[in-house]
Amino acid sequence: MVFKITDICYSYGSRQAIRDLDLALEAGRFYAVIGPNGCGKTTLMDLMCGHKRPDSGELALHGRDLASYSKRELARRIAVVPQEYPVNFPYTAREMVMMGRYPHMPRFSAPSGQDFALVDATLASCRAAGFVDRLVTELSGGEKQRVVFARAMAQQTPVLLLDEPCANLDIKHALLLLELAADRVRQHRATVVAVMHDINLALRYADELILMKDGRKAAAGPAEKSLKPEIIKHVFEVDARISREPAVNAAQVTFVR
Amino acid sequence: MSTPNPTWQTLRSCPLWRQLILLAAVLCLMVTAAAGMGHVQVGFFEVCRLLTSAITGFSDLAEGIAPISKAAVIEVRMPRILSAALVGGTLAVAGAVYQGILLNPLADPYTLGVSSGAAFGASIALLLNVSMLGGFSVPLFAFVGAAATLMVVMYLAASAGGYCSSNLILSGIIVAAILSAGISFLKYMADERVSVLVFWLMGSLASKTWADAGLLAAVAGPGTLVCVFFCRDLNLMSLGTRTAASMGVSAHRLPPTLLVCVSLMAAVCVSITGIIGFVGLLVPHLVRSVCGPDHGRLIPVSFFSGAILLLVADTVTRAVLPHELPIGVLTALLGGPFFCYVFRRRQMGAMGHGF
Repeated sequence: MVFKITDICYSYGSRQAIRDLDLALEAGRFYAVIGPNGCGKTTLMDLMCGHKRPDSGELALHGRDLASYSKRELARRIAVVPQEYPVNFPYTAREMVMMGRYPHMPRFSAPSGQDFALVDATLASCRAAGFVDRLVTELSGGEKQRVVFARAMAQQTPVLLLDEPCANLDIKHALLLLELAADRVRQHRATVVAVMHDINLALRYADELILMKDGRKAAAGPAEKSLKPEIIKHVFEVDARISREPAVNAAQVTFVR
Repeated sequence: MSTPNPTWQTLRSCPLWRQLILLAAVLCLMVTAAAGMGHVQVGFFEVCRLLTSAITGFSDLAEGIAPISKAAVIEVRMPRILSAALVGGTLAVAGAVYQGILLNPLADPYTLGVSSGAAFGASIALLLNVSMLGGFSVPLFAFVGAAATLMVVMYLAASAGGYCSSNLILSGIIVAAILSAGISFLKYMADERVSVLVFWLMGSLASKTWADAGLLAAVAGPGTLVCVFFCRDLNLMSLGTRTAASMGVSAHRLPPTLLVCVSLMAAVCVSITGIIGFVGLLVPHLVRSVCGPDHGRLIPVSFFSGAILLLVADTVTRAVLPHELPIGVLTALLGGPFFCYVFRRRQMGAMGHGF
């Protein structure tokens, strides 16, 4: 088991963001976290990457308490694509993706030829080869997001946490990035946990869904089994119809009202 | 949306050691040239012979050179020249780190109120005519003032989640405003001694001794090494704390550690030379626009560029201008308009270029 989360709680002052959450995440699975705004999805991501510590409960990575890892050890195991990614200085796209290799490099050694090859290959796989030498501050939102995603991929970690990875992307590039993440899961038995707003994309790419409401787990399990119209009604307060779409070989949701 | 022009790209990707050797060579050349300039003219090769004999200890190398030339170069000019270079380099490194941590283009080594604190401390020492430590009493008071201000600012800005840059800048501004009112009050109280105070505040490298230069070297060297040690963490910090933390940076501990380190470096500079503005703001900006924002390159290149810049400025006021101008005034008078020019040209060129 990769992640074992037992009874964690987290609150901002008096507002409880996460309540008694339990999760067990396996290697080689793609998990989609879905739920309405403010239900604690991003807080869960922050807790899982060690950026925040739970008020109570336990969070174990590979059987070890998450807090016992050093920052650098964690950076070699977990890569994060955050929801917001300010870039304050004009780095080139290649320089930025190379930062993903920092956790693997000794402090004073220059990047090796292998690092450079990996960075260029990763940028190419994210369809970003056309702007490797451009400044990230000059790229469009979608281009920048691909570079940020490439940086996380270049970190080559067994766990990939994505916080709305497709928020700024057109549908073509959204499909491309989810495909790349799914490849990681299939080929390297990675664990991907992605916060997603598009339920149909989640159904298509995720092996398991984690539905959240008010900081609690509302439902979890294999994608098609866990998603029922009653649960969508409970979590999102919207009527929905679920049908199978043979073209993508997955269940798809139509929102009725 | 212009593609970067070719010269710019080459400088960005040229090996770092080659850039540093070139800059170090230029600096050595400048030091030697500056040592020969002034009221007592000494030839370039005579300076070379004097310096090598002083460094290696072979006294026969300096034979046949007038004793007055030797005294002027070794005892008077070299400490001042080395102090200028070290202060310029230290302020530039401090500015680069300040801008990297606070993610603010206006940040400079004095942003956290270090200069106001130092000025306040020095004003008190000058006003009360403190002389218990001889020549070191004013620098000591200045340093204590700077360090105390830094502690107050850090205390004000601290919150549960560590230090956020807007809190730090705001606290720095508030404390500096209070202190500058205090300095005005001291000036008002100083009556006829106000000129000493004003002159100190303008910054000067005149009559620096080997002890000053040694102290500066002892602070600049280790301080710069600490900054270089954390250069990759600084790169990651510019992607935001959350991302930096997920990539192995102690995002809560790094900013206060580095801010204290570079503020103390700046405080030592201020306490020895007074306030020399614009070097710490200008040099990192220029270096970044030429060599790119990678701190592994930015910090060492800024050190040498700042050293060269302040050395040239100091030599101009010491040996070229008919009357010696306070160095702080000269750097602001020349640096300010130049900065405006660079800033405007960048605005015209590529919008959204960062800074």
